[in-house]
Amino acid sequence: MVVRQYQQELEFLEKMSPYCWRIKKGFQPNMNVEGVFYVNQTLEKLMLDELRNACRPGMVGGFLPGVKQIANVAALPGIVGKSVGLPDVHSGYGFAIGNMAAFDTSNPDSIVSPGGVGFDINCGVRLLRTNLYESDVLPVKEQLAQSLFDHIPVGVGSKGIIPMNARDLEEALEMGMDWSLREGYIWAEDKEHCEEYGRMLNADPAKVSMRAKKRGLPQLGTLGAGNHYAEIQVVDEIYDKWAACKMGIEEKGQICVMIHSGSRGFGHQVATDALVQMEKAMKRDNIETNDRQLACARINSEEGQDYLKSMAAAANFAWVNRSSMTFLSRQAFAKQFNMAPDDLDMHVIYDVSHNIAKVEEHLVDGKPKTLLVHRKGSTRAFPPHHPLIPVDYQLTGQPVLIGGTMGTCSYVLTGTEQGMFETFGSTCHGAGRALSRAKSRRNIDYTDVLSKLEYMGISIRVASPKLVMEEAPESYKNVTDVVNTCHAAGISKKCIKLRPIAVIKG
Amino acid sequence: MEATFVIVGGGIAGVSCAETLAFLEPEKSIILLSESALIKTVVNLHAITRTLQDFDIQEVGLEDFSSKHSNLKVIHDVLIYIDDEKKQIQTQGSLYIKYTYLCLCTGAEPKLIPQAQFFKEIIGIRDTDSVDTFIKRISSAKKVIIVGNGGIATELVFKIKNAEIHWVIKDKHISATFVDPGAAEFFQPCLSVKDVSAAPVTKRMRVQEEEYRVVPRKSFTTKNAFDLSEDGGIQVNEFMQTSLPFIYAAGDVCNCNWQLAKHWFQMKLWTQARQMGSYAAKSMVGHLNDEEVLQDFCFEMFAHSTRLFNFKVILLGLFNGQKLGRNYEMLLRMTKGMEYVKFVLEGNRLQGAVLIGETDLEEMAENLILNQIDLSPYGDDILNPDIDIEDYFD
Repeated sequence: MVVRQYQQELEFLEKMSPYCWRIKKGFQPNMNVEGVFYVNQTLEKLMLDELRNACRPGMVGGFLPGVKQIANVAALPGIVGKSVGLPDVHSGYGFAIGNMAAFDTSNPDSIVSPGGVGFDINCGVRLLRTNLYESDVLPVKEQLAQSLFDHIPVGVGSKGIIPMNARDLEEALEMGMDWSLREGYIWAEDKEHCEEYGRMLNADPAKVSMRAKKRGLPQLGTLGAGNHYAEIQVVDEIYDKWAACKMGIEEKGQICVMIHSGSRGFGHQVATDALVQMEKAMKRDNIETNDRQLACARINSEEGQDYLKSMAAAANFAWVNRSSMTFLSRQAFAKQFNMAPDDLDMHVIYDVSHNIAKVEEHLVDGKPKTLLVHRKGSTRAFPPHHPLIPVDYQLTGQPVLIGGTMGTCSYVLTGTEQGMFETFGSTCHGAGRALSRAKSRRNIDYTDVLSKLEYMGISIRVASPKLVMEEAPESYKNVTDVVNTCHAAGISKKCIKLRPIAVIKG
Repeated sequence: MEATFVIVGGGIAGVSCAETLAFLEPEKSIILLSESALIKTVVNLHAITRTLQDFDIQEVGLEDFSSKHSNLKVIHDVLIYIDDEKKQIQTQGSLYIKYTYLCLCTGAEPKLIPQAQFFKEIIGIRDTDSVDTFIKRISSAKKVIIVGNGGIATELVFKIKNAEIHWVIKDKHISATFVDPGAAEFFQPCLSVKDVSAAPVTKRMRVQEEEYRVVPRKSFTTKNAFDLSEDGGIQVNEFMQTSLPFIYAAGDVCNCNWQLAKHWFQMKLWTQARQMGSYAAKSMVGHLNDEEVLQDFCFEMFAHSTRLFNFKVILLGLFNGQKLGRNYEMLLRMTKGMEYVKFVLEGNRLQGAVLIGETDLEEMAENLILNQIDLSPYGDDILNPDIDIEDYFD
């Protein structure tokens, strides 16, 4: 890593507009393209503070600030356009969370990197609407919340709502939401409102390790992966009445259900397996990166293709998960209100993936190119008239779902032409945090503990703060700041704001 | 009388096995044989992470339980003999039950200190039945001596009020079954805040070198002998099959005799009883239908969630350096009264973790253990108190 003073580092950063900064080549070694990041005033301060802290003596720790990670990605072989940091960008394994990078598939040197997708492959958000209003739901929200993920309903289908054995899993990995549809858990039109129609066709379960499959199978009585959550939300604000209307959102107070889930353990294993393979491929093909965590392989190599096929299987797995939760949500509402889910108008507004790599057509320097677009903590946001978005949204642009962290507000945005041009149709995914800023202050004290542990004869290390931080109450990249920045920068457009009234952990 | 599946034992393992069978094979007949008139069911199940689950135990009457599942019959009786050749069992009440598959979940019983046979005041506590007896006796007690150092002893010391408590342990520190001396030190203030007149006294006293733990409960005989482990547990393979055909075992009565995953080991806990019971059911169903059974992932990594002194305690992998000898490092983070985090590292890879308090690190730690990611680039920063990294590895 280049060691420079903070002031010297700043020379490589240039504020292009109130919401956009450019990262010049040379900020990190071997940058093939420039970097860019989007921030407002608040987020800008967090971003630069993070860099300043990293420049202090003795701070060459393991965690790189987001802006450095964006620049390291700009040094990967085959990258085109810019390495883009979204407003919620924060430090992650290899790529920062909130980073988009696209690679030219026609360039034989171009790479695919599991770190650019993330471990929780196809982590994403789905939004269901209802024709209920806050006053209908408030009195029963506790019962609703409780019944939502209580238990896998016995007697539904033959084998339960999620793939329960090796054969079911294999099919689900290959078929994605087509599996859920075949088993009768979703409506055919749900697929229409899903990226890739809820199924990546290049998925190949044969490329997935046995350990990953075992890690994906559920235990009885749980939905499987654990760690998903859903929120019952109320429409709090409508910014774009016309677009909201196209999504079936008529007025404030309307109830929606937001589902957050990914492939969790299964995706983790797929990514882990790939990282091991890619380290070998890097040696063989002499691929060099600025950071060992950016393990990658050429897109056309066996390792690259195997990863893309198993990643697609993990993506399919995540869609099955979100579909199962959709099914349970519909059941819970139907039971509570004694009405059929379609009478409650419980349609899927949209389903987005924010940890994924996809092959897409884009214009690079005015020429059409086929790119492998990595979005990690970043959501696809295609503009109106794009051929890959459903007919219902052809005029509005693709709905983009931005989940707050549990309990904060969420947003629906729409894709824009400007976003297509500047960020290859990508925008933020949610909230974020600044490095070196913990939520709560920890007063570290080891004296008594260490003396008690010493006799065990084991080497002991202790975690300690690196420096006394200046007062930093605001460590958090608030979802409202994040969304407002995307709107102001024009890379997506605000449509609806949602406020949670119940959070349900699955 | 006959049934496709016969399960012996109304504890957590037996009941989990029965429930899983009832779910997977709603058309097949299931008989659950319980010595007790009440059986233990799991309620409030909550998935914390992929391998970690939190749940409560509730006792229900036999009728209430069997009425939930149409294909399940519960019989209150005691197993005395298994004829593994005829595939038939015999009970104390002279019932003969034919089975296609038999699953033994007879549990284990507390092994008391040797002095117990001479004094009626000495009670062993292990399950809800023995707790009931204890509650009756303690209501008038002025002085209580607690012998043992596991979760139950810890909870008793913490919860008993209005009596003088002497806590007798054989280890150098409290709660040794679950935590290291450092964590014990973290808990120490919880003991001293109690009312002085009721203040517990912690003493170290060598009771006996021998372990006072549990012994598998097998009050029945068999035509052919099971392969047993040294402590008398019934040996099972990776599918929970015993050495006798069509007979499975799960929970405290069995001894895991397969090539264990690096980060898993057997410990006689409700958590594992539930996992084994449920998994034995899946194995039997797989065998019956000739379907491939993948071993449940919960056997890849030890995971247990409990509460000690009212703190959430999560134990993952080789949390006390089990199996590692002295070839490991500890990385600690502690804030008094708030959290105690210990990572067990070997070759810069996470092997186990103790997480006490609201750390939000359980999912990350689980993934780091399972993924075996090289943590050397981060050094001690992985637990840097200024950094929240729950989603760094997402």
